[in-house]
Amino acid sequence: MNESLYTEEYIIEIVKKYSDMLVRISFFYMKIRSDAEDVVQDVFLKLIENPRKFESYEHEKAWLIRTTINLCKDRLKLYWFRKRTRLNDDHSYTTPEKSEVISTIMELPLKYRSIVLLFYYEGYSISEISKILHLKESTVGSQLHRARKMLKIKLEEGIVDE
Amino acid sequence: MNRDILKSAIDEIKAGEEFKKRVTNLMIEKNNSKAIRKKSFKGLITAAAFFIMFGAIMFSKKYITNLQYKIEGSSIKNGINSMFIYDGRLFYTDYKNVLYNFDSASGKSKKQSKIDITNRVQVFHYKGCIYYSSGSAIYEKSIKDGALRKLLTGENLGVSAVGEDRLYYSIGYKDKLGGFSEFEYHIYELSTKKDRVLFKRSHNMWYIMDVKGDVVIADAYMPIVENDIVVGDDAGTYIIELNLGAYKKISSMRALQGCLAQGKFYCINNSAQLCSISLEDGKITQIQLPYMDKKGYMVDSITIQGDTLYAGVHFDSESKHNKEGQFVYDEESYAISIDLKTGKKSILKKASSRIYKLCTDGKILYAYESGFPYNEKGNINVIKLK
Repeated sequence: MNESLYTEEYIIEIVKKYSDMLVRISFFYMKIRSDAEDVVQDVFLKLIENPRKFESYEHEKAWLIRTTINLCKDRLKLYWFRKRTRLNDDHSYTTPEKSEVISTIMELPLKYRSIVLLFYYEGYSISEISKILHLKESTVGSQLHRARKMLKIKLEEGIVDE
Repeated sequence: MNRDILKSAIDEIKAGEEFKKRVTNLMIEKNNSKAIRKKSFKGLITAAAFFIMFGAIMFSKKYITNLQYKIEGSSIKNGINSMFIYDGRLFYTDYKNVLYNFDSASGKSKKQSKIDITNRVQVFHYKGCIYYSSGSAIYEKSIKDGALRKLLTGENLGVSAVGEDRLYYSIGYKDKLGGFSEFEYHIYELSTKKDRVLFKRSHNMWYIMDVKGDVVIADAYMPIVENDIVVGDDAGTYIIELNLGAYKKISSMRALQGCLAQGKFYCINNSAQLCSISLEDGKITQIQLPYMDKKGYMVDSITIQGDTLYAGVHFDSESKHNKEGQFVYDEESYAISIDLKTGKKSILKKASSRIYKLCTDGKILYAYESGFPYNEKGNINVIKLK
C-alpha cells in the first residue's frame, strides 16, 4: 500500500483481511468482546488518520499487530477502565469446551498472551515476534518458555514440543 | 492439549460481520472527508511545514556544534550481527554467518570467511581472534591468518563474553518440552586453558553486558520456582566480582545492552531509554538526550570509547505532506555523542533508518543502520571523529 489516501477497495480488503486476527489479539488483552472490537476500530481509524507507507505485506501486518497491542495496553491503563465494574470474561465467541483453553490463556500474565498468540496461532518465529514487539529475541524465547510451562501446568499437558 | 486444539479454540474468536461493515463504512467516510480537507488546507499545511522545519533547525542548532564527520556508505545485504575493530579496520558478521572486512575509504566490504556458528548468534572479538560457538564446540579463529582452534566441546554451548583473558560460556539443558530451561555458566581461561564453573546449573539466566578486570556486569533473570511453577522473579542488573567470588544485585532495572565506564554502568533499559547505574550505591540516573521528548523515543544502540558515549536514537516523526500533497508517515534516527565528563552532547549524523550497531576506536565511529521499514538491507555509516 503506497497511496497516502486509501481507495475504497483497499479499505474493504484490509478490514476483511485483518479484522479477525486483530480482534483475536485484542480480545486476549481486553477479555470482553465489545472492548476488543472498540480497540480494533480505533486501530483502523488510526490508519486513516495517519496514512502510512507500507513496503510489504509483512510490514503492514506487523504495524497493525503492534498498534493493536499498544492501544490495548493504553486502554487497560486508563483510570476509568481500571475502576469500572468488571463483568465476567466474555466467552460468547466460543463453545464451553473450548472456553477452558481460552480462559487458561487469559490467565497468563499480560505480556505472555500476545507472544503465545503470535507464536502458536499466527505462526511467527521468535525472531519475527522480537521485531514486532521490540523485544530481545532471548526475552521472547524465555517468556514463551515460561508461558508454555504455565499453560502446561494449568492444562496438565504440554502444548507443543518446540 | 496440543497446538491443533489451541488453534481451533482461538479460531472461534472472530470479528462479527456487523462490526466489519461498521468499521469499513467509518473508514471510508473518514477517508473521504480527509481528501476534501487535504485540498482546502494545502496552503495552510505548507506554511505549517515551513514553521516546523524552522523550529527543527533552531532546535538542532542547540545541539549541533562543530560537526566532525564524513559519511560514506556501503550496502549490506544480510544485516550485521556483530561488529568490531581490529588493526584499524572494521570487521563484521552478517546473519548468513559470513565474516567481512570493511574498507572505510571505498565503503566496500570484502568477504573474509564463512563461520560455522549457531545461526544468528554473535561472535566476540578479543586480541585479534574471534570466539564463537557452533553449539557443539567453541572455536577461536585468528583474523589475520584464519587459523582455527577448537577450545571446548559439549552440547548446547554458547559464548556469553570474552575479555581479560577469560571466555565466559553457557551450557543449556533442555526440558521435556524441548526448550532450554536450565543453564550452567563457566569461565575458560584462554592462556592456561583452565575451566571452572561460574554458576552451577539452575533456572537462572545471565546475560553478560560488559567485563572490566575482575568485574562483570550482567542482566540476570532469576525465576522463583515453587512446586515447579514460576511464582515470581528476582531479575535485574547484577555485578559479579570474580576476585571475591561473589555477586550482588545493584538494581531491579533490566538492561538490554550496556558498558562499564567511570564507576557506572551505562545501559539501555527495558523501556529503551539510556540510563546509568552507579556501581557504588545502585542509583539510577536517566541520561538526558536531544529529542527525548519526541513520541516513540527509543535508544537502539550504545558504545563507549574513553570518556565518550555514542548512542543511536530513534523516534516517530509527525506525519507530513510530501511534494504531491500526500501524507507520509516518517521516523527519524540520529547518532549522538555525549562527553561523560562535561555532559556536552553533539549530533553526529542523521540516519535514514534505525541505528542498531555502533562501533568505534575513537577515530572513526561506524554506525550500522538497517533498511527502512525494518529489513536486513542496510548501510554502514563512517563518521570521522576529531
